[in-house]
Amino acid sequence: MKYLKSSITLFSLSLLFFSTACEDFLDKKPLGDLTSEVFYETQDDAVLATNAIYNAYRAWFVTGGFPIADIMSDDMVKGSSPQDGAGLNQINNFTFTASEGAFSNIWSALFVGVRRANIVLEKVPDIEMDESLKTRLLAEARFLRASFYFELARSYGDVPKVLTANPERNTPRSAVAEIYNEIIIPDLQFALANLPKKSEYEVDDLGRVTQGAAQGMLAKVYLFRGNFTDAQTQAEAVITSGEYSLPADFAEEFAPDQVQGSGSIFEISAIRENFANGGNQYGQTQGVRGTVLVNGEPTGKGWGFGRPTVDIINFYEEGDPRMDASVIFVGDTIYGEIVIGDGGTPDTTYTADGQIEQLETYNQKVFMTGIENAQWGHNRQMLRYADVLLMAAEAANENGNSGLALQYLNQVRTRAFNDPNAAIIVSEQSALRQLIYDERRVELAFEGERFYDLVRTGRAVDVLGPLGFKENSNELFPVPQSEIDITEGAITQNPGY
Amino acid sequence: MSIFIQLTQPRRGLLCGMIFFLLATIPTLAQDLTVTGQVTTAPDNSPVPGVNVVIQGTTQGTVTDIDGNYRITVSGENDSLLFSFVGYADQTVAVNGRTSINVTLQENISQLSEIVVVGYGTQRKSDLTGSVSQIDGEELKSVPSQNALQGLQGKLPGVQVTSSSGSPGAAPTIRIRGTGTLNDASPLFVVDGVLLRSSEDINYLNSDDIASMEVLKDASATAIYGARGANGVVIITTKQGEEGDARVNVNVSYGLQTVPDKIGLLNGPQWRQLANEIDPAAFPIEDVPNTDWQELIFDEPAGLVDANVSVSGGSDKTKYYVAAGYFKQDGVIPSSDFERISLRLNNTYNLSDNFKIGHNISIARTERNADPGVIGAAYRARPDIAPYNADGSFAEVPSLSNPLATIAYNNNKINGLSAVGNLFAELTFLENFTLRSSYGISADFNKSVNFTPVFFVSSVQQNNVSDLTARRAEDTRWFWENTLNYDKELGVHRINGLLGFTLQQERSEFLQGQTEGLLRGDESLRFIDLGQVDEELTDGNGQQQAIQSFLFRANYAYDSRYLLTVTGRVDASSVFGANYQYGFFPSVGLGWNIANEPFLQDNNVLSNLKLRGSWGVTGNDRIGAEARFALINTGLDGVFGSDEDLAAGATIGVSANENLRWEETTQFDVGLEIGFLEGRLNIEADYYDRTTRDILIPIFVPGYAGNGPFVSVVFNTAEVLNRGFEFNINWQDDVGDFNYSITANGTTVQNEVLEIGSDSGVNSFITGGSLNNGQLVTRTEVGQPVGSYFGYQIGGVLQDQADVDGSPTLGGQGVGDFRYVDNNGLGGNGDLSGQADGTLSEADRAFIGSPIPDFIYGLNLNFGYKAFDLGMDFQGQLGNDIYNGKRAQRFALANYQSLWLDRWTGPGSSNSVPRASSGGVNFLPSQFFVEDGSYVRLRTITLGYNLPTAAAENLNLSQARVFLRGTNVFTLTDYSGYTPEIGVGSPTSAGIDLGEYPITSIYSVGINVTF
Repeated sequence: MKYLKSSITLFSLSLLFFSTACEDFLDKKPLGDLTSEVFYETQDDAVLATNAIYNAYRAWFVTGGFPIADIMSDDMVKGSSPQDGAGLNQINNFTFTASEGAFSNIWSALFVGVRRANIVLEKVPDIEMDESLKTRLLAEARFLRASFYFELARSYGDVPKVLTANPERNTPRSAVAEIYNEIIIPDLQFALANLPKKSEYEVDDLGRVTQGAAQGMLAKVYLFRGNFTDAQTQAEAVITSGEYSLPADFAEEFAPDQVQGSGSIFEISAIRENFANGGNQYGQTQGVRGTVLVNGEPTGKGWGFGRPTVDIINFYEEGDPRMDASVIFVGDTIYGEIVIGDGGTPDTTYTADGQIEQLETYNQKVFMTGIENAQWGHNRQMLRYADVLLMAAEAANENGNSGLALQYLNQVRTRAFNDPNAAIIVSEQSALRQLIYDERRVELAFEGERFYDLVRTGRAVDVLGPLGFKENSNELFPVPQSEIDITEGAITQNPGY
Repeated sequence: MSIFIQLTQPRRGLLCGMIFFLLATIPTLAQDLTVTGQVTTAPDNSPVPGVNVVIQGTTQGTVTDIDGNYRITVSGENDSLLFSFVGYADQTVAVNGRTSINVTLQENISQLSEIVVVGYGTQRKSDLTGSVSQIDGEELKSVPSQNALQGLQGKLPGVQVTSSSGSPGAAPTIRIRGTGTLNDASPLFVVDGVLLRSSEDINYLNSDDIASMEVLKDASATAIYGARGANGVVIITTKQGEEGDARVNVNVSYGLQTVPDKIGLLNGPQWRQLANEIDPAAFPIEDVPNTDWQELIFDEPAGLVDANVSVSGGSDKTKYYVAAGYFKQDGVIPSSDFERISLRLNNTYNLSDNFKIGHNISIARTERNADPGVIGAAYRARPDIAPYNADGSFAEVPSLSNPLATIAYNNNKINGLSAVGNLFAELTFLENFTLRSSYGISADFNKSVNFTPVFFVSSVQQNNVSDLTARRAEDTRWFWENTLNYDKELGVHRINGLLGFTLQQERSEFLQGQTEGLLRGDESLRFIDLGQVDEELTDGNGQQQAIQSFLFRANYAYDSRYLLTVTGRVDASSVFGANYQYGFFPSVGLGWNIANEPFLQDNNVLSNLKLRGSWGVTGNDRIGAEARFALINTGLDGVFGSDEDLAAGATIGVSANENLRWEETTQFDVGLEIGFLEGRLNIEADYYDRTTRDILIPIFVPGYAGNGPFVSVVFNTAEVLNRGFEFNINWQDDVGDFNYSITANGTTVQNEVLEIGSDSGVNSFITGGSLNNGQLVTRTEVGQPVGSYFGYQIGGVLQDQADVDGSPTLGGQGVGDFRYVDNNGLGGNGDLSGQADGTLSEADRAFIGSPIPDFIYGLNLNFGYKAFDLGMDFQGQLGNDIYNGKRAQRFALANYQSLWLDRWTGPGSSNSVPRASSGGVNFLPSQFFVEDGSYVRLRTITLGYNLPTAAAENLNLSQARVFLRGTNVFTLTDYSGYTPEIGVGSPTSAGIDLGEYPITSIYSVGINVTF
């Protein structure tokens, strides 16, 4: 009986112990990995989570893996060798379907950014930390969320309104106006009110979004909404801030060693390494295909996707230095490196009637000097001061102030030509409008704006129609078919697809 | 006699041995004597009235009285007495001149009251309502292998054992009643109450230490294991000491292994001829070397040693079993071998009448040289290349690798240390209650060192800088199981109740270092320290999980006729999602022992007739310890500052699925057991129907959820059905000195996917089965077996240009290419009709085979004559297909199988094998690569000789046996690879042969001595 008593007592005690300790017993955290439950606790965590949003902007798929929007414009064709990425030809000539992978990649990659911003907006408010830093991080997150959503809205139109890290499985699309009015504009207004000026950041934080970036983005958003009054106000706020100026030389804005220069308002910095170590494949994808001689040694730079068209080459005015600064021709010497090009890529192709159809050309704005991962170090310019000036010019012209419009426009032109005589003096509204549009094309060539500008200003069918653009359909990207399938139709398709 | 008992009642081996010993010591007496004695039953020594006692070979006999006593006069001292009683095994005892012979009847082992081990207890087989198959430890040993599961192959209905590789140390794959999930479909292994997850986990276990293995198949038997029981449970019980003098058993065997069948490949001249047809200029056909790479890579015969010694015995206070084993298997390919030293100590101590403690402790040390993986290389290597250059160095095999060099430069050693054991205490109180508490630990420590020296054979087979990877992994678990058992007999009512509470925790970790440029390659210098690069890479991570369970079982038997079993288990697991922390797994079983009904009591034909049925729910919790968590992704850095520095970033990775839960199997089973002619013929048959729901599969999540492109999250949404019949028929009898038994078992499996991804729309099938050449050859789709092969059907070879022009073709197809079947035409209703539509495209691909056999069977024959015994085990399967992927892999111009001798060389030359080509349109996934995997194999044949008692006695032995054994002696199959047993990968990639290490034939001699 001695054993009986002691055993039963022990057994009962043990049961008691474990029934009280049960909750803890089953609480087995992953080893070697943090979980969301314990991560968002410190100021450092808040900064890390915010940095991760910027990381999403460096992802290759943010532009679909290729300069999709430019290939859809009259500024670029597919490029590379004919067999490589042959599917992109359908994007080039507007014969794509909703199953084309690039459109689901862009959609998904932009929503990664939205999600990471939402995580910060959900988690950071509860973290005990420096309040002013907290406000800034939240403002950064809201700017970035707006920026991702702006890309989504102008590409896809109606999109699901996702304001949480874990949205419902079958969230339908919301009207694009709602996306602008309830997400993009309020986010940017919050960012504008709470972000530091560029000059107020520590030098180590250069590249974080600024009040000027918020103003500039807001100006662009208003422009896309046709609200020229507010567009002009916001653009002028950037201009009068004194934070930005145009570098004397246009080419300097895209120089390989240029980092967050005076003309840069929103720029995604990158390091000459692979993605994990800070690189951005955007520059490598468009880098010179074939051979470039670096110090006499043959070096590969990239795949050569996104080939500047003969059309834009011919469009540059005689003597516009921006052509040479934007387009690489085979045989060019750039920063001492000699472009040999790709033997497998026809140098020049001709149409049936003997006209030059394509030249072997590359986007010089992404050119980086050096070997190995050099091209991965290209800093993608999301918003330049020149763009803001042209927006201000466009808005002022629409608001009936052609004098002011010319002033802004000519700042860009005279800088480009480095010649006060290059200034335009046309003041008739519609003629000036077209000149501003034309200036946007050459100033912002290959920066992903042209297609959206054509659609925004109603010129897409005229300009792109001959390239296959279909009215009332191709103004927007197709919603990815996979998204419609996965949500069993809760997500709907755009017209014409 | 002893042989007969050995064969039919091996579980009682010790007792039989003792009887044998006693009998052997009785001196010889004169003729014509009267024999008296008492007949009792085994468990409680109670006397049995009414036992028939007959002088063997005559009709003379008597019956025991009320006290079990009998009295009979025999005519000769060499007569034998046959004792028989319903429900007990017949027993024949040689008189050997004795006047007093007491006999203890054993309950009939093959039918009524055999004791089987079930989860958390034991049960009479006659009281079982569930489907449980049992195999004796002795029988497991008939296959020399480090893994005891090899001995199960072909032995039990419903159990499919597949050697995943012939590589020494490789554990087999085991499936119970089909493939119940698209994920890990292994059963649960329970070794003396320690729960283990995979067949690899029991590599530490020495077959010689196993007393019995029970396979629990239906829900009535497995539901007690709840969330881990869905794919069946294998319970392994190790040997215990029994009361009596120390008994020493030595068991040694030595075997030689050979590769039974080589693959038929082209020889040098034949290959040149074929290559010449592809590229006439490049391959002159004069003076062609002829290299048989298979001859060169195999090192036959390879040895196999299995040596074991055990000592067991005990008193009424203490019982002990102490054992040591050594197992060493060389590989038929050099630099692959496995060695294990195992120690075991199983003791029990009766501290008082009602309290005992005990332990089962095992330590094993293993050392394995991982196989260099050259089967594929030897298969591909061109036969027209001499293996060595003139200077003795390895010759280049163009664009491929020289397998001999691969062997020479392979240095991948894995050392393991496993400690598995438990301590238990058992208290009996208030007569009917037993309280048992057991604490167990299983700990695995693995160390691997993989070194690749600097070498150069060719531009594609070279290593410029030596590499070293050293890895330490540990996997530790503990278990605490507490059960309260209640056992009561009240007249005709027999009640048993079980309540339990268990806790289990697991944790695994690894730490790995990599370096390059070692100064020397010596084994003693393979340490990270000796690397000569700036960067030494380290990696480390871990996982942990815990399970807490409540379980109960109630058995009720009325008059041994009507049986009811109810079980249930509640599992709370740390791996389940927040919304599903607890799972409840119930089952009900019913049984009817019809033979015990009064109306059948007096019949002479049926000795057993039982009908049973069960229903229940079990789970599969192998969903990944961390799958439910949203982990933080680090390394999501931003780039800021004028100097462009990385700024660390981290945030939540892929969304968690809060609803993640176990996969759930509902199983229905009906079984019938019939015994005839006093147990000489026994038939057991079951019908089973298992439906597994909530199978985890990755499902694409909407892009707007922000997880990124191509990201999927696992959800519980697929459903698979397995159903079929299984049977076991056993006949045993003896004729004079000759005794024999025949056992046949078979299982049918119908496997069908019922649903895939109901939550999504796009994941209507799962693609798998990578050939590592970009081809995926399986598709798991509703209405088909899991992992079915998917590709083009073949309708012959396009004979001439007219044929090509008149047939739908794929781009690039021409004369001499396959005529792929055009079958995706639409019928009048717009559905696929299986008719031609005049064009050929990917849409014409079809299901072209299944890796799941329709029928698995085994046939075991045992014969005994005087001191000799002969056993033969056949096993096989029918109706499964193998995708011979190595034939489809064309990484370069490689060797071809002999079937290419029948290739198309001109109109009318062949309609089965296309023109000579390497890769391209004739190598697309198609029926061409699907082969019938059916086979029948002589698994083992053993001839044994038991030393006569007197001779053994002279040597002071109680028993001695020598045997000759052949294992995997021959295999009848149409399959063209080494073996039709293909390492089962995941269920969605099963049966794909990319170069299997051959399963060897083993010819061994052994001796087994007890003293």
